[in-house]
Amino acid sequence: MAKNSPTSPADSVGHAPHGELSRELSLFHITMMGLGMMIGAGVFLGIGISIHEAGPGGVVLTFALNGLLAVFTAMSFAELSSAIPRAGGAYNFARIGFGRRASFLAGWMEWFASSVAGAMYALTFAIYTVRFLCKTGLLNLQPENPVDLVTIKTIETIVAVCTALLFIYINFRGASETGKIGAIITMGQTLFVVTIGVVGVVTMVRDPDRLANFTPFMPHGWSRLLMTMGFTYVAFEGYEVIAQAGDEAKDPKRNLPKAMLYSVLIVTVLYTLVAFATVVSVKAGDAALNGMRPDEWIGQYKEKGFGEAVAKLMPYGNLVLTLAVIFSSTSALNATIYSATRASYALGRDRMLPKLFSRIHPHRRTPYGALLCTAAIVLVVAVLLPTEDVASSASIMFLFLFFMVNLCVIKIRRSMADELEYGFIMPLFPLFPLLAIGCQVILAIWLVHMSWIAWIVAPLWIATGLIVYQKYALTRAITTDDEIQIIEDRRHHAEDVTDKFSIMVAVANPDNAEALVKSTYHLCGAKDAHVELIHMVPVPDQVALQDGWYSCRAGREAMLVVMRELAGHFPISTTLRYCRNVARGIVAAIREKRIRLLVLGWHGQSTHRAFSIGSTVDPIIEQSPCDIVVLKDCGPDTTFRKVLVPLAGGPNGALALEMASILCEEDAEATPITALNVDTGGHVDIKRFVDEQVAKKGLTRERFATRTIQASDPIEAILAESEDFDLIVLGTTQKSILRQFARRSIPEEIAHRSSKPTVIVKANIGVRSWLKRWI
Amino acid sequence: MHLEVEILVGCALVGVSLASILSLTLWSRGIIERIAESEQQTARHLIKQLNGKE
Repeated sequence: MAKNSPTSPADSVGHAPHGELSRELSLFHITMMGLGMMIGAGVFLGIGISIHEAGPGGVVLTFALNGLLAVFTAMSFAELSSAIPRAGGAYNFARIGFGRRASFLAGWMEWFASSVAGAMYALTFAIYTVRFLCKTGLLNLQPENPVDLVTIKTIETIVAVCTALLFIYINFRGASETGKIGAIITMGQTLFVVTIGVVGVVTMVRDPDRLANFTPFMPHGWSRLLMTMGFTYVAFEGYEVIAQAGDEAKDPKRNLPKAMLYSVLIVTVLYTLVAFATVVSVKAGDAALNGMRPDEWIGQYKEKGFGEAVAKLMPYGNLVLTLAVIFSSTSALNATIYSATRASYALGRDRMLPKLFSRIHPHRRTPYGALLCTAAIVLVVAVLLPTEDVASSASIMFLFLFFMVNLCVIKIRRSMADELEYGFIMPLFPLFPLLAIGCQVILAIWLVHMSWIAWIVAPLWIATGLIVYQKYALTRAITTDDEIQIIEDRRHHAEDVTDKFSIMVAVANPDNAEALVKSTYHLCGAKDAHVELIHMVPVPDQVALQDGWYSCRAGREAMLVVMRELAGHFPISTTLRYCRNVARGIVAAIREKRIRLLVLGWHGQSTHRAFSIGSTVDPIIEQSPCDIVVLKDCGPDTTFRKVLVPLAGGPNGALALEMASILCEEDAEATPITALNVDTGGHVDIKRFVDEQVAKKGLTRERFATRTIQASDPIEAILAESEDFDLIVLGTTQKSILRQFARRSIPEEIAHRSSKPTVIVKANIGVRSWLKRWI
Repeated sequence: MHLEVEILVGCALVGVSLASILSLTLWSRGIIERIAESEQQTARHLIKQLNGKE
């Protein structure tokens, strides 16, 4: 993945080049876009139903706790958006995290979910507007009359279509207009919502007896809280639209994460305030309640409960409520059209959908093709389809998306921590994404019980997406900058090597290859292995991957050096690839070719203090799903007759002893390998440990001597001890990555300071290894 | 659960949630500002830098 500069080159002169979106949205604009997406129909419908299900205390808790859950996923979005600030949001994150197929599905689901949500907001706007006109007598129609009802429905549909068309046009005018008009509308809706909340608090202060409305606090039990949280979670999804503004936001690395977190904070406070105001809006004992408790009276109206409560709370309550709903629906409509358009634009830009989706208007600099297709979905849904069940489908897809994004943030931090330039990294990683994943699973399960139709529509749309991917996108999708290009992948033997032990040797240049040959020969001989030679050509971000040919020569020569020595003895394959990052390229090749052991060379210097061994070796050691051997100063002229293996009882001990046994000359003295334990208070029984490991690996026990020494400084002790040996074999540290960032570990420190040939090994112990190193 | 205890727990949860959201937002904002001032912005460098080790 190319490192993303905060702004495009065009920004410096104020004009975007052809084919790019213009950067005009400030922190204020994108925060308002997020708020506009959130303060929509969800909260107005959700409050009444939450009071009905969870009671007066439950409704306030629902929104407060949901806000906390939302901030967890918002932090994942914030981190990824700051590192990958491009239009597409979850689509881009999925592509970089899990590849093309996952990214296509993410974009496909996002497009559908946002488009359908847009249609729902257009209908909500129309329904409340027509209802208000009927109530005020401006439209002389009675909903109770069946003939008038048909007319009302027709007018609602026409208003919904006109509203949708208006906001499609606003989106066509450009990001600036979209953001600015959206910001004005969002400010209006926020003002109304704040007014309702403040009036509620003032009412309570004037009449403290209304606090008794919170009794009983949770009449149906605490378990109902989970249901209401699932139902209202959709009211917190606005950070997704902020992620879509990556190409159009000013200083996106700073502003995108800030806007996401600010918008969640603001809506949580607003929602909690409004939920509180709703509960205290009616007074217990009021004749209008017909003897019911306030929460029972509000709850009986379910989705309309909020409206009925607000009408009681303040003068002109119905008018205020209608204005609030009109503002919020149009604002959310604006944001969802924007989001859906950018999701489909990203698919078109990468040729996963036809070129029409990626067309940018020459003057407006808006993706008009994607906007047209989004408009088609919005209008068709608004005119033809029932909104409730389809909206539930959209919710399920949003949950799937957020689930995927939380996985992506873990995957991308793990595999690309040295490549992407972050504007924000979340604290206590990976606690928050894991918490969010757990919660999203529960909420998705809850939605199954909400709408069975949603569980037909959602899989159907996903299945359609898979067919489109297979039949169209798979063959046409362009290779993106973050991918690896295979230039050569050759077999230089006719032997069937399926069941053979596979050793990959990563070569950089002829000198490095020369130094690896002898040790590799021993390793291959001992393992009766098939050799995979790999050379990764690192191509700088400024150069297209396919133009990396100019630096292939050294790699080809290096491969010839190794082949000249080994081809007559072992089956050899070679592979040559272009990549942005050598470590990621090698790890991908290891996974693809199911390599069991990787052999690397190391020059003995670290280029930066952030790395323990080196900027290429560290990520390979952390991520490779195979055993690893890193060789330092083990050139062709070295012979190892006495080998020192410092051990502390860790999981790399067996591999270290095995490698020592393989690399040590057969005709060496009786016990050429010394397993050394430095006793610093850990009390490792070195003899027993060596017995166990040697037996496990099937090695000759007689070749190993054991020794324990007392020392307060193990590094100095081992370095002093190593003077009498030809080679040191060290296991990598088992400290977590984060602790290693703080301080270089003992094995790495020894490897750096030792003047003797040194081998560093890391055994692959699967998931346990990953968990231990990262968590 | 006893009513008073329920109300107490409920209020505490609301308070803790809102306080946590505010704290996380401010904490994150601080991280964003510190990162904006840094030259190296890869995650590995930033973690070390934010821990005050570089």
